[in-house]
Amino acid sequence: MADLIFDPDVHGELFSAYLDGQLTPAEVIVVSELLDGSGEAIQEFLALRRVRTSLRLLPEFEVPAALLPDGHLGDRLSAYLDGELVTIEHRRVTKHLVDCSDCRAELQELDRARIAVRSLPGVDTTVTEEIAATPPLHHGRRRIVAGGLGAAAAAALLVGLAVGGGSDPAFVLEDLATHHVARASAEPGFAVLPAAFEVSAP
Amino acid sequence: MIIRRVFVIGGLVAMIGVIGTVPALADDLADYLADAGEAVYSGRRVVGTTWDGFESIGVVEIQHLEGMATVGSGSSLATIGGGRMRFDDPSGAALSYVGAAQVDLEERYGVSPGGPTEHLGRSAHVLDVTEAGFLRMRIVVDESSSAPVATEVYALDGSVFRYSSMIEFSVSVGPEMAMTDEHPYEMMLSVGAAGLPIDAAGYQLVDVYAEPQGANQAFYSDGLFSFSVFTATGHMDWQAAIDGELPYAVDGQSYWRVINPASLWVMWNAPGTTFALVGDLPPDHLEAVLDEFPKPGIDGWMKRMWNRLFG
Amino acid sequence: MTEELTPTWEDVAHRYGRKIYNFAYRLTGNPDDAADLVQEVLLRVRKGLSSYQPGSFDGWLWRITRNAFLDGIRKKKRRPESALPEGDHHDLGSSPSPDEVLASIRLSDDVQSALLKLPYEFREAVVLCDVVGLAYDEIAEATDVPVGTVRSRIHRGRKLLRGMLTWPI
Repeated sequence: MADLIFDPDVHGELFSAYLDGQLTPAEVIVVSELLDGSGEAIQEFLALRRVRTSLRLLPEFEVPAALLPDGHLGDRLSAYLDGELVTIEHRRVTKHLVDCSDCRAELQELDRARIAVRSLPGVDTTVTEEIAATPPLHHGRRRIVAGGLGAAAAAALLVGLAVGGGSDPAFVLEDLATHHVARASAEPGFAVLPAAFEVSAP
Repeated sequence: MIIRRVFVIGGLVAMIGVIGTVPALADDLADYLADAGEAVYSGRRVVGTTWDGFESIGVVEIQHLEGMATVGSGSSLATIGGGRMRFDDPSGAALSYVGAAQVDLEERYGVSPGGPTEHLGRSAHVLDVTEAGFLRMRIVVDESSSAPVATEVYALDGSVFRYSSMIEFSVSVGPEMAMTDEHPYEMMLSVGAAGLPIDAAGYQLVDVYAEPQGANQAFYSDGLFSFSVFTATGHMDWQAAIDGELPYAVDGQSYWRVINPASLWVMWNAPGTTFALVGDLPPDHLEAVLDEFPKPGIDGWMKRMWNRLFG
Repeated sequence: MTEELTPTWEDVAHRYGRKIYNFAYRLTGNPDDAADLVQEVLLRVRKGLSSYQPGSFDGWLWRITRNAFLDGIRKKKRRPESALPEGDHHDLGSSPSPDEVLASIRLSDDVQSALLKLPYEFREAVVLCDVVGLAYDEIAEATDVPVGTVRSRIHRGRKLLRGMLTWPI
């Protein structure tokens, strides 16, 4: 067993790693030998240990609450509306929306603001970002007088009845048609497949 | 690539196959649908459905701009498009399907150009939409606006199932076609799909939405046609709900059916669950789709018999 | 299904937020910078979660954290990193008590000031080891250097700190 001469430049690093528990067994033996023999080595070791302890005892701060998710959706709503969220995230946001009326209300507001920014030809509107913050503009509507389906046909559209024993499902037939057409209007086929206000004509 | 469809027609199972290359031009149909979506036009359109000898026709006013259409007749006017719908009447009901997922056009569809033609004195050309080798749909496209000025959807036997035709047409819209915002949109949120087929006869389950009072709307699409299946626990007296009943049998099962100018409704009760399907799909697709869902079974038949005898 | 295995953004924020915040705080000495970093990291985590392949989550997270920090430094005009020449030190402590723990706590502001004087690589290595508590191989993965370099940086950082801080003899 040769005597090791302590060299702070060479061996100091071993002491640091020793303190961190990151030495190989062979290196541990070297450190033990050094600490066994040399007062200088011990001084160095203790000094390093003191620095390390000071660092490790530094107080750990709490994260300011504002940075942590509050369980609500915040700026993810915009991304959601833009269809920018990937599937997993999209599903999570949707799940949250189903349960959280606050976020749903926020979604509605956000959606409303986006709609208000649409501008159409012939309408004298100045569209700016400020529209999102102000009440939407009202435009006049031309009455469209249509022929075709008369009052009798319209009356044939019935509200569904929940009849019978057991649990009463509540289907509103009118809603079935409108819900389907509304959803289908997001599909490319909507452009060529005629939508019409469905009146039952048995 | 072999494309096979199974059709269930009156109990007879027919296999129709096309062996060969993938139908080309599927992309062009998607392109045309996109163009048609952006077309600017207005006018009046007749829409009709013929099925099993029944005919249902309607005429609607339409204004179409930037993917939105204001459609209606009489007091029933609505602005629809992009997953939103708003009734332009005092009820002001408005729905929004936010973040609706898109489905790709099924590979069974291809498109081939037909020849030039005319509609209402305007130049147009024909687009033939094929499905697995047979002509499913014909679209007459207005040359200058790309608007679909006439369409025909064919049943398997080649007869016209649904048609539409512009009877008045102009390439402008009224100045007041605008989105007002008097009523908030009811946001439809998608929920998980438990127990529903993910793929029904070529239609993909895209989303399931929660309807009020515990019902669900499952939306299926094949990129061209689409339908929604509404489900709720319990039993619904469909016969009472529909004024006049149209018997409809598929593969020995009985359903109720309503034929509308632009859509079909098919309803039934399966044990424990009641179903309503609303969509614009052709009858052979419908039959294949119904095959994928719980059947009415003897339960439905018994209730009908009971109602007939004692109702 | 991978969906169940991948942590949600909320999981990450609640479980790691504190460590990330303290990492940034100790690296910058500045609570605002630390807050910015937490936000930026959480944002990148949120975006990255969709493409995250289950593996070493910690390594992935700390890599993101470090990159976000460095990007933040590049964006802002920050004081250039200053290397403290060997042997130069300030007498920073007040009269400390013999109890090492108490002395360390009293010195925490001094330690922080001293940390800020370290060259960046050393400071980062020391903070990742002694504040965040990562092992050498984890630090190597996060900083993309060999373990040997990590070891050397940690030691040189501590040595420099020792030169800047005083304790009772």
